[in-house]
Amino acid sequence: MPIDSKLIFLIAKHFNLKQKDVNLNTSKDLIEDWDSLEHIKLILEIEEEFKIKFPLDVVPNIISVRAIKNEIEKLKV
Amino acid sequence: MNIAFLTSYNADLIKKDFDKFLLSREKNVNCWWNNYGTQELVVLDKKSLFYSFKPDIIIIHLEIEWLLGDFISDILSLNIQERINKTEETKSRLTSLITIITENLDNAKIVIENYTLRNKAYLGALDINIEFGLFEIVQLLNAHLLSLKKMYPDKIILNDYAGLIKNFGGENSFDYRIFHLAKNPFAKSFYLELFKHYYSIITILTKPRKKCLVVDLDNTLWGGIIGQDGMENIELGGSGMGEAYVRFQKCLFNYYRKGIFLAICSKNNYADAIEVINKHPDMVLRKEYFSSLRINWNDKVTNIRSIAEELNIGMDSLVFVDDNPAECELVRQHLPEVEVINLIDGPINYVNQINSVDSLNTIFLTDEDLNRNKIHIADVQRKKLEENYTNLDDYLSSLEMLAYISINDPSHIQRVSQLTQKTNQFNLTTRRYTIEEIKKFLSDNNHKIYTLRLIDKFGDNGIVLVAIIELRKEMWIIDTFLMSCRVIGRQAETALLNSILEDASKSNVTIVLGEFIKTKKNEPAEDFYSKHGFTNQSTNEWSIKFPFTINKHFIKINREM
Repeated sequence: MPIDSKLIFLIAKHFNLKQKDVNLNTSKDLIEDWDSLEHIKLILEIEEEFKIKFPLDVVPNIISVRAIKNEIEKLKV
Repeated sequence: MNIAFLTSYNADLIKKDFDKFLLSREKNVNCWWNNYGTQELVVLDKKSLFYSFKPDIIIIHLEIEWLLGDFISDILSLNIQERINKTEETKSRLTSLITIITENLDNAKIVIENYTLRNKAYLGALDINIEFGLFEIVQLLNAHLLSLKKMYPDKIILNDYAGLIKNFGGENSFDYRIFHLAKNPFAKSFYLELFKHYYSIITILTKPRKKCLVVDLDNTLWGGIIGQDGMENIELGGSGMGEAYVRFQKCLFNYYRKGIFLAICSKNNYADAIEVINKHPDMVLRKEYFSSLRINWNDKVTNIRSIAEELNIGMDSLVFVDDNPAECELVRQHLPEVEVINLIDGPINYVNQINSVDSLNTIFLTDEDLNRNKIHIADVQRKKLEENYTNLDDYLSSLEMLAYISINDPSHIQRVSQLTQKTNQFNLTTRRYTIEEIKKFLSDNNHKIYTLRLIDKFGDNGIVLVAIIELRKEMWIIDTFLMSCRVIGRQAETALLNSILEDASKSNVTIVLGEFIKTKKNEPAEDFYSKHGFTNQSTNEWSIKFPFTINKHFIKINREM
């Protein structure tokens, strides 16, 4: 599965949304439940799924689907 | 059941996951966690949600990093005397926290996780070498937990969090990124281990313990197949694999010591197997340590059934241990109540597999647990004697039985509660009581708790009968009357009832009421009242009026007032 769709699937599942309602432009301010605690939970789930670990300084800043995707790509190279 | 967690870490990240974990294993369990940072406040504030939640079990998980605060990363800022003071201060802080909880929550069990450092070292090699360094402080605080347990032995249970971290490794357990962002130190890959750790102590506290381990022989107690390989060629003793089997046998022997019966269920020629058990120089578990032997060619389901019958215990009290997956599957299918452990990956892993069975675990040992297996050997001798007598009276008098009957003895509280919890067969009302409830009976002046300890020429059976009497004006009500199944048929119930009725006469009681509440298992007690001169009032209720009938028995009575 390409990174985009896998990521969208995970995020939709985490926030109980339909996949069509999530896209690369979805971000923290657009999803009500995406608070800082849920953010950490989400990041941990993504890390588990992609078998990666984001650096500490990156975690608080990747607050959109696109930003997360870019970081995954960096780590996957 | 309500479980409250007092944690020093931010539980928000894990509590939903823990609920999910728990829900897949238990129904009717609710969890409550303190908000981050409020673990002491909720205890101090009697109106807090912690108290209104009414927890049955409290799990206190305070990390030493929180207890010691900034000091942990800069202990050299204090001199030795200041470090001693800091340790003492922390100890008394813990003591008062625990004392407040015990005083305000009477019936709750308090589980305290012990202490370990998250990091291997803060000052490197110095930590372990300086006086009142972190290593010594951790040891002193853990020792303090033991002394708290001595203060409240019935309420406090210690849980080995340090051991969990040791097994899983500090590197794998913690994720400092998450700690710095959300004040929860645990790595996501560690959550499941932590949940199992909490769940295991909950299980031990709430579920009845298994009573018997039924083990296979070939490739379980030794390597190889005795019928084919012969005693000289099986793997047992020496080094390597043989030593691993010895280690496993020693592990099983510890369960024997803790009062779990051992039994053998093996497809073999009896003579081949018993020769190894009796004569092999490295065999740990000799014949006398087994309460029941089924070494034959019958199917294991039949054998397990007859083991349960011989030992007079329910199927749900058995754990069956075998390396053969087909045998395990057969037992699982036919005897779903039996817990089945399929040993895998060779004897090296057997010990861990057995030791991780929560239902074999216990947090305390009663004297009865320590003596149970001795008692069982005496039972076998008694049975042999019984076979030699044709007349029951002759047999009973030959046992030279002596009973000590006590009333309201506080040292019997634990045993009384234990017997009400687990006696199913000879139990007239099957009312289950906790230690705290028994204590209340002792202190309320409206109850008498009778206990009977039975000794005969083969040994001491311990406390095997309990009666709880509710005292009313001119009337006594037998709330509970029970007898451990291992002394059924010895007329000890008659001896105890006689003493109760004698006491009732002396207290000018004119009527004694009894109740029989039928269950699936208590048929052996069904005719108790009719046999002892009570008359039937209604379906469940029986009564006897002054002057009370006294019945014959063969037990010498010693009253301890």
